[in-house]
Amino acid sequence: MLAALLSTLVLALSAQAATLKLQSPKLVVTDSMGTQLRSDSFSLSKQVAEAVELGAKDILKMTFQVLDQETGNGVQPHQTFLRFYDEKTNEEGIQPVRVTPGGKAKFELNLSKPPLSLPPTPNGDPLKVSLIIGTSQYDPISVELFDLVLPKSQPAPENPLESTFHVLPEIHHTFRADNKMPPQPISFAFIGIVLAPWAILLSLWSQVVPKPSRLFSPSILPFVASLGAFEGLLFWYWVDLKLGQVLLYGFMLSLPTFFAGKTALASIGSQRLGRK
Amino acid sequence: MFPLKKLIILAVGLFGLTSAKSSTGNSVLVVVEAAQKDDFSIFFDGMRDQGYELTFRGPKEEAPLLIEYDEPKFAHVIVLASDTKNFAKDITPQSLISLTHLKTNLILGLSTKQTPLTSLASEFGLIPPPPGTPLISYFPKREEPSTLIPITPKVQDSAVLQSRNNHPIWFSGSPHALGNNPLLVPILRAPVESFASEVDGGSPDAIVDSADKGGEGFWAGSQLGVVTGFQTLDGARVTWVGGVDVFSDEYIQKQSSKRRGVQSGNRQFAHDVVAWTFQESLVLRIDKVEHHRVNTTEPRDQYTIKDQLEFNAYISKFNPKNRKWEPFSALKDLQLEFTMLDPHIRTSLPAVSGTPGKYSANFRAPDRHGVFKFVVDYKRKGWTALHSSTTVAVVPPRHDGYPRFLSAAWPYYAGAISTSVGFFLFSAFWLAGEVRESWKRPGKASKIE
Amino acid sequence: MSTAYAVPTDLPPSTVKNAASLLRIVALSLISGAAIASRLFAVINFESIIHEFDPWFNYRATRVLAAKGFYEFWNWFDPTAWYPLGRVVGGTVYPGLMATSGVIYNILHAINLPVDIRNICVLLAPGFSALTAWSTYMFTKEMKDPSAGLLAAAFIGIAPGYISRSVAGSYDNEAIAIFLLMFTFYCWIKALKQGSALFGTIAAVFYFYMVAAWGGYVFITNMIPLHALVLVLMGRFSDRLYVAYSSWYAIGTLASMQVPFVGFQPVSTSEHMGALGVFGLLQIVAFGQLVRSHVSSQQFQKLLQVSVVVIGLLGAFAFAFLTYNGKIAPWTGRFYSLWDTGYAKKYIPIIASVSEHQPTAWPSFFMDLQFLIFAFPAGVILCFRELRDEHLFVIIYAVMASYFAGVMVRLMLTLTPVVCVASAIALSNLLDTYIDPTEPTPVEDDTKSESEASTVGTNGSNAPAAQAPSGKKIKKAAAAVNVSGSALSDFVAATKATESGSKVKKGIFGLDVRAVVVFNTIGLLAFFVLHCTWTTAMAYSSPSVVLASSGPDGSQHIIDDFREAYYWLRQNTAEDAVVMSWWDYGYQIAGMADRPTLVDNNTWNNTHIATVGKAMSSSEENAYPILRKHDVEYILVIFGGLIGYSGDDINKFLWMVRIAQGVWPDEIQESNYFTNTGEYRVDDRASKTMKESLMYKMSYYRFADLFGGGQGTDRVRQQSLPKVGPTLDYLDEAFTSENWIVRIYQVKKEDPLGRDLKSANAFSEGKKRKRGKPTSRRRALVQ
Repeated sequence: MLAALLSTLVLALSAQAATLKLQSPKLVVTDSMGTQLRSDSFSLSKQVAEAVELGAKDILKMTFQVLDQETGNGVQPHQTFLRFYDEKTNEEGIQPVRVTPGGKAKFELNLSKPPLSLPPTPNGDPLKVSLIIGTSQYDPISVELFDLVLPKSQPAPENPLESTFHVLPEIHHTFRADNKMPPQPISFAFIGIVLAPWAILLSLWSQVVPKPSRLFSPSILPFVASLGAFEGLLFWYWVDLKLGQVLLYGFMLSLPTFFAGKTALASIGSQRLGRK
Repeated sequence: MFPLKKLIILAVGLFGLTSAKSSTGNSVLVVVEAAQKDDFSIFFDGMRDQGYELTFRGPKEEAPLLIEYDEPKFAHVIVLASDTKNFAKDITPQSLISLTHLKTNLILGLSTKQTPLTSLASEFGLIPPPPGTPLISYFPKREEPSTLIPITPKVQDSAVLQSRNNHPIWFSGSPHALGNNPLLVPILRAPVESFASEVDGGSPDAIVDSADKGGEGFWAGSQLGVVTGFQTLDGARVTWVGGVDVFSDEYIQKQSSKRRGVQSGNRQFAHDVVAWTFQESLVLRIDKVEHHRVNTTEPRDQYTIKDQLEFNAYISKFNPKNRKWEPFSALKDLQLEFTMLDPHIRTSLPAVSGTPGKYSANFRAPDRHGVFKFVVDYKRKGWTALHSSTTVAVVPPRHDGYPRFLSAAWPYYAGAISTSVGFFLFSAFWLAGEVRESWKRPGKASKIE
Repeated sequence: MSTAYAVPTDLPPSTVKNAASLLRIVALSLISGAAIASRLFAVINFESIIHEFDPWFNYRATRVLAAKGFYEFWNWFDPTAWYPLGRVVGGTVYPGLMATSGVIYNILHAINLPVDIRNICVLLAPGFSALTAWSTYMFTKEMKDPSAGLLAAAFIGIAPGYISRSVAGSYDNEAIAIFLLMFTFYCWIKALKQGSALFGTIAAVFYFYMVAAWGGYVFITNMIPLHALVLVLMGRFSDRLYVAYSSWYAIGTLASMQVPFVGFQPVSTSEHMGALGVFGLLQIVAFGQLVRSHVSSQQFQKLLQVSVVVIGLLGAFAFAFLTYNGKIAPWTGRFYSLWDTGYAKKYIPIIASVSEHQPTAWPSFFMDLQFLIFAFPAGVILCFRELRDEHLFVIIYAVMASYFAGVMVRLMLTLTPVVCVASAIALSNLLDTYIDPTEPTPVEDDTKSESEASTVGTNGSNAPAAQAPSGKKIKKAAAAVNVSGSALSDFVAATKATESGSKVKKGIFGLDVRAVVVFNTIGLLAFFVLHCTWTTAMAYSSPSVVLASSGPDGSQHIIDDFREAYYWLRQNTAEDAVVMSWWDYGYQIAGMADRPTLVDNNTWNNTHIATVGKAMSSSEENAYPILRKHDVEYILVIFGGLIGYSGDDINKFLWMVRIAQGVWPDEIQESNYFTNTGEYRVDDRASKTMKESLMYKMSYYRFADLFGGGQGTDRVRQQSLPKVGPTLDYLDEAFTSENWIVRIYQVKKEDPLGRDLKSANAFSEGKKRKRGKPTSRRRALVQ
């Protein structure tokens, strides 16, 4: 390895530096039918002012000849590359250009069959096209030639993991709307409606005037009381109690209620039948 | 949660033992041909000064083993024998990958020759050029051969190179194209004008042919890497070096042929690469995470829907200078996700000013019940990936946890109570009422009013 | 006065009565003992273990209830079920069974009997079967008399149709529900007979218990109103009916709404509207009766006509309007599947995929009920003879239950009680007639009851048998049927009858006819007992968690793969490791392995089940993202190909495909899993999709290795497998049980190098990757 390096080093030192130039550099844009859309020349010294624009099926042709500055002989450099570079996405593509031993170079960019190296242009930003010529014994050249505008393409393929390496968009949870309360007056109004039958009932009762005359008789009172106790228990449950307590108290209440009910209903039965 | 704990235990455990600056250990195995060992003496001495214990092994020697009883024997491994085609039988691409699973950090050398490591490189998403095609650049014009290239690192290249100076890094060797694997951390890229080719003997036509669709591929430009890091999902770091000479004494001491007196940047570069690969720089960890309802401090394993939750993470960075984990508040883009299948909430997790290392976010639990995870997943190129996942259940309110006595329900309450009272009064009157004479009408008297 | 055989005449009636009631008590306790004992085969043959699938959930829930109390149970959110959705258990479960066990557990512990909760759960079903026998006795007693009751109790005690759901260890809702069903019906009949609000209330309380215990309460919810409706339509409206129904409906409905799982359904779903409608109808009819007692009949007729039309129209409009507005839920799919047996397969494959939801095969009627199924129609017809209100109930019950039992296998359970009751009535009638010692006074002829006799004759094989040998006495046999009103039910009546029965004209002469019929009947009953014992022991006592096979020499071999695998999971995996399996095994994994599961037997979320189905039926690459998204760490499959266990996942696989297809018709197609000729195969000719599916790969992974290079044979499907088995890239085999019934695979983590696992696997096996080159990054926009 080291020996190889040393030998190339020696080779390089022995070489005389010289410069290269381009002859008749020309670029032509045609559409797929061969109609010429644009023809222009470019040079190493100055960038082409107007960006070159290509449609989806257009063809860009570039021709030039590489010559030795001094002798004027054609030179076939080791490295004759066109570089397409998108500054915004940092995408780069490098395309070697075929140069004949006589130094004649011809490059064709056919967008219906784009070369592998052409970088993606998802945003339609212009690509900077530069020419890189390097070969031993000559000074290397790297010159920006023109801007190239290509039709939009899909963004570069991305690994599914890639997105986790960047800040992800925030996500907010949308909550279901809270239940709306009707205004309290409406509630009160409905309470009034619900309680209204009492007015009717009481007014009718006032006509009939029922008399619970036997309410305090020992056969009736316990049953009425235990029914009342049940209602009270359920109300208490609603306000405060736990289910276990309610079942316990309810069970305890149910036995006296059962017997009181038996007695009460039996006594009513006997009373009514007796009167009959 | 689990890997975090393990990381802490690992870190704490190793911290007591080691005096090296690495956060994961100081034992280094260097696989190098005995003949070449002296070519890298400055590199090795530099590492020894850092506190690493170096063990050398020829690529064909049987001992010491890389892995013994499924345990890695060294915290870090450097393979400088990049030209070797046949390694001892325990050094295989497969065993090197197992090493990364065991959290061993690797520096692996590639060369222009086809070696077992070349095929390993493609597993890491590197695409090496065909054998015998070194990186060539005619830029800048210089006395050195076209295969020995001074590379000035660009600013956007990597966070790995800490010290940015304009000293060129001398490189010779093979480049590699980078796949789209996001775990790759480009450290040093090839210059724009460089390309891989057979040295001068390669005809220009061959280059053009290789770029065609049917060709064997064309490697050129600044998208190529020459030294590339890789951080596995497990947290192990691997650095691929396109040519190991970049660490050699010769390159470290080399001065530019054009401008005398300009030092080479290779010494600093080697230091930076080792520091990153061996977990000295850009190493983070989550010390702990907490979650609780806002205004309380008790963590719970169940929260009720719509609870206001607070989540805190404490993050430290390893400081290789004093070998301590220090609270680190400089992360700006940390995010917290509250996930069930998909993230329901993703919010930024900003640092709390005043409490170093603490990051805090609070949000309202979604109104969906289920098993949620607080997920912090921070991955940035070059930095240790931070991952923490804490599982909590979000449950509907308890049966007595709903609001009661709502005004909307008053009519219902009134109705129920009114019915109760009505039932009671009816029972009382019916049970205790008089039996009127009129009921004694002939025929059956209905018992039901 | 003649009797066929000597009857002691000097016994005081009180002695006879006391002896009879003592005998009844003894008989009932023996029946209870038999009912409990015959259900213990499972414990004796295997061990005290919870059976099958659902019981494992009930058992787990009961443990929570016993350990944490009722309120915690009520609010129990189970984060390990339906991961990661979780299940609000408290609100989606019928808590009656767990509460019952919890109460028993607490009582036993309160009196210092530290019984393990598992044993309570295992023995709960046998215990309640004794109660069922008792309540069936009470119910049948209301229909006919105590002797029929005893027969019915004996039948229900050992009928396989009921045993199938109530062997020891079968800790399911049905275990207590049948008792509650019968007791509620008994209380309803009692309330109806007596017009008793008290019994109506008791019926309501037990109805509430039933609602809390089993989803089948809807059967009661519709049976009782139907009975009431039929009574009203037959003009049998009475105050008794009004009181009984109103007290039952009002209290029962309010109480049933207290069960969180039921909630407002009783007033908002179509299934419950019948009860509400009948309640309203009864109010109207009662009001009509009141009006009729006050106005003249002509006015009343007009009023009645108008009001019926108006109210009917109003009711129908209200129902339609509310249904249209979504206030009343329309009929559910389960309901439609009761009428159209093909409905479920088309629209709700999850329901159709359950074997117990399939239509019943005819042999299973005989298997589950033996000769009762033949005596059953006779009993129903006998009910027509008297046709009291309660007989109508039995008739309606018989018709409804017969239909439903034909539609769904599991509803055989609701048919069994009425079959027992009706057959007991028939058989008891037969025995009454033939044991009755009263000799009739000879008469000329009585052809009137010929047809009835032949009706009885079809009861079973006994009657023709009885007739054939007594051919010369065919006239007497023709006169055999006694009007059941005068049938003498026990010795008390018999003694009375002999005293005053000198005028009896119909009856049976001689002892021989009696003996033939009675012995035939006893033989029938004896065979019934044999059949029940055999069926219970052979068919219904397998826990299905533990399997048994018998060797060629008759020796029993226990196959305990399930528990082996579940305990492996429990002891070798992280506590929060999520296990994916088909939903059948969800409850068992939760109960025995204590690991989170994706889906389980509570099939509430079709999409989640379809997700699992999709993962199982997709290729590895497609399944892997699903597995990772759901944090699945282990996959459990059941494979019976080695030992010939036919209930395995490959046989259920088409259901997984169908259910997945229901949700993702573009990605999963059932036809892809069949061969070109439309066969479902697993051998060489299996379709590509089938061979690439995760389920196929997991089932047959390394299966070929077992046969040492020879051709492996799947013993369930009787097909030879390819010599080269499937390979797995995304899963690792973690565990395979002794007989390969349970296979557990571990899902690999993502490759640390970010490769896909397939190429990572290929690399670690030493396969060289094709040399790469920089690829084009530009792709044209798709126009």
